[in-house]
Amino acid sequence: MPDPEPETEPDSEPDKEPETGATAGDPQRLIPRWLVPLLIGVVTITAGVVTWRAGQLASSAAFEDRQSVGQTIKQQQQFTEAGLSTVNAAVGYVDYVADFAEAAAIDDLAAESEENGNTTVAAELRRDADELRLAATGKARAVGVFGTESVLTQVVTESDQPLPFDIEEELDSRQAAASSGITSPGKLDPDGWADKADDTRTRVRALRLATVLLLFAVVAYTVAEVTRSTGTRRLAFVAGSIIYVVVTTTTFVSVF
Amino acid sequence: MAHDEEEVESNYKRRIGIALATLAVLAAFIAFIQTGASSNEASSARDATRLASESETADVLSKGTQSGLEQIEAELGLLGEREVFGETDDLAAQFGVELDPQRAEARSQNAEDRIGTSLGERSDLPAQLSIEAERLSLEQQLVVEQRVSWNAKSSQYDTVLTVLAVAIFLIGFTLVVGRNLRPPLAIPGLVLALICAGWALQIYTKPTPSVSQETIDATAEGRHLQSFGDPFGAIAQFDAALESTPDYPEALTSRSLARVLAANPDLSTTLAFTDTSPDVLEAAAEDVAAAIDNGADEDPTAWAVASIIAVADRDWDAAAEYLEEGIRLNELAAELFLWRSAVATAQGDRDAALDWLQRARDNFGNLGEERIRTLAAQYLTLLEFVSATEPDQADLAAEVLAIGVESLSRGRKDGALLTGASPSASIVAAMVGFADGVTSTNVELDGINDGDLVVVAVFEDPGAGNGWVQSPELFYSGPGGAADREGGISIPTPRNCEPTAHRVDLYVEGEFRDSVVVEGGTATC
Repeated sequence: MPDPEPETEPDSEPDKEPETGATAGDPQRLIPRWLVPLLIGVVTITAGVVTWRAGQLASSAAFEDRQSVGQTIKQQQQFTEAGLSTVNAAVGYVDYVADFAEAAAIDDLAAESEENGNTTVAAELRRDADELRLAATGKARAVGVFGTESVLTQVVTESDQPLPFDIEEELDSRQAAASSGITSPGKLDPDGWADKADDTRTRVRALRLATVLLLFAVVAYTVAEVTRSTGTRRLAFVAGSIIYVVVTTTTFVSVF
Repeated sequence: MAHDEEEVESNYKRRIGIALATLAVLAAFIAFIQTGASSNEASSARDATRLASESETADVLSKGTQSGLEQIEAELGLLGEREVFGETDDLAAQFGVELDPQRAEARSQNAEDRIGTSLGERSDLPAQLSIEAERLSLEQQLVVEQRVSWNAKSSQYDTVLTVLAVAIFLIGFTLVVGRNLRPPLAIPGLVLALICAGWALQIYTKPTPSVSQETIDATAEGRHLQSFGDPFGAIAQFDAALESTPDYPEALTSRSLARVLAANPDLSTTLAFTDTSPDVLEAAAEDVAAAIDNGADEDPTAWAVASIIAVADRDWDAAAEYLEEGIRLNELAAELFLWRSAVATAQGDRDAALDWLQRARDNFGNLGEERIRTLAAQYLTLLEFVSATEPDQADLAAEVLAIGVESLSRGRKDGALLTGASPSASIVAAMVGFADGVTSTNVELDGINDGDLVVVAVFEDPGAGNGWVQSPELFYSGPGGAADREGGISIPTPRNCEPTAHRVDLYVEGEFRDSVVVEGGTATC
């Protein structure tokens, strides 16, 4: 435990520390000569660790960017696939409805023929209408407008009304199908990855800033080391220490 | 004395130490802002790639949906072709019963209603997707520019740091050299350090490209309206876009084109210049010039728009310059080569006109027949415009036009063209009429030898005094017999300006044979 430094140096220049006897064990120095170089080394190593962490996080940000881009492309592929197949189904559905509309018109023509006493023609026309509906249903299934179950419902119930088709429901279900297959990439969250990359880069910037601030501590300690003025040395030492402690604590607690 | 020397030396070293420490802090700070720039560049690169993918998807879906709607429209249009919706009398005869025409009409109407409402109200879906695709594309362009800007900043900071390292070396080296050598090293070092500080500040304060979301949205909406034939609505959107970002090049280029299209409504279909008044052209030229000054100088579209305006203004030298800029940026655009050939014709430079024509043909490559026909129609129209507006070059324009047709004919024939084939070929009768967006033609030819290649090009006069225009739908090349098909043919040719006359030109084996003019309706443009 060194002796307390006297308030006034016993020298002709009261603000200057004596050149002689200023060794590590000098009882006149409050700050031992070995302490400041040691602290410069500690701060430099701390800055190195912070820089290493920043580099590590920068790599993580690059990975998160890649995930975001990759998932965006997969997601857009799914949108395109689902969107185009829905458009095709919608066009097929309109064709199907047109056939049913034609069949309805044939039925009406049959009714008119019957009203005019021509039952043979009416029966033929009704058969034509049923065949047309059956063919339309088969075609709609073949081009992917409906699944097998819907078609069976139509056939079994012998409905002369077209099956319903909701384009938004179709789009949603086709998108869900595209993302739920065994070879699908699973839940995609490209925005989440992008946000994560941005957050990581914010941390990288904060760590770089911490390195710059730690450099200020090094500068302060350097001033404390080279100055001859006791007051300046003490001030620089305290400033360097405060910067070091505050920056290191903040960095390691919040962004490291 | 020695003590004073030591004191001076010690003070000098202390000052240098402080200077070096200050420069180290400066270097660290520059490195810090360089990190920020490179981080922003990485984020921009990611966003640009994502936006490119999203924009592509929206564009594909927009076009797919539009195509789907067109198929549905076609389905509705063809409904009458189905037997049950045919003529009532025919049906009655076929089935041997009496049928009520009103009931037949009700059947048709019912079917149309069923088909029309089968998908609910979805007609705005392609428009929404089209606007979305435009918006994403514009955002992507902006992000790419931002990325380039951040990349430039990051690289410039690297350079600053390198120069600063030299400055630190020069200053630090003075600690180990004699006193006389110190000033020649320290002073340049300090000057360099100051330059670096100022340079870094200049890089930091240089703005990165920025456009408000409102501007992008309005520009996307305007472009959508423009592509769907509403230039006036488009101009209103571009005006709104330019309110907050007056130098946004995308909106300026698009507004320039929209101004020309608003005044020349058939320009996009037939290249007909029907209004070349200075107030229209000056405003359009100002817009595109501002766009080029603000970053559109690497956009071939901007140069193409500038050249259209220059051609309309008959400023041939400017048109030639703009077209060559456009060709520099997109040397595959056969269109620009053909335009350049027509401009060379207007300048009276026959060799250049033929050279540019040949270069255009070299660029045709794998283009399909329809596309080549469209390009040829544009070329013929431009040559007619040159004939009408530069009477001194009318003979040269006619000669180049004939060479152009010969060139097209050569492309349509397997073997070589025959010289002097069907010498007495003529147009015996030509009927051409226009009504409700449909042109009906019936052309009777005579004196065509079997197997000779015939070109029948129908030109129309929009009535603005700027010459004939030729549209790709009214251009036939092939065997002679098909050109005078009995009963004639009707072709959809939607026009805003009703043709006041038609001209039918006949070429056999690439050589001109006959021409007939048929009067048309009253000018509407």
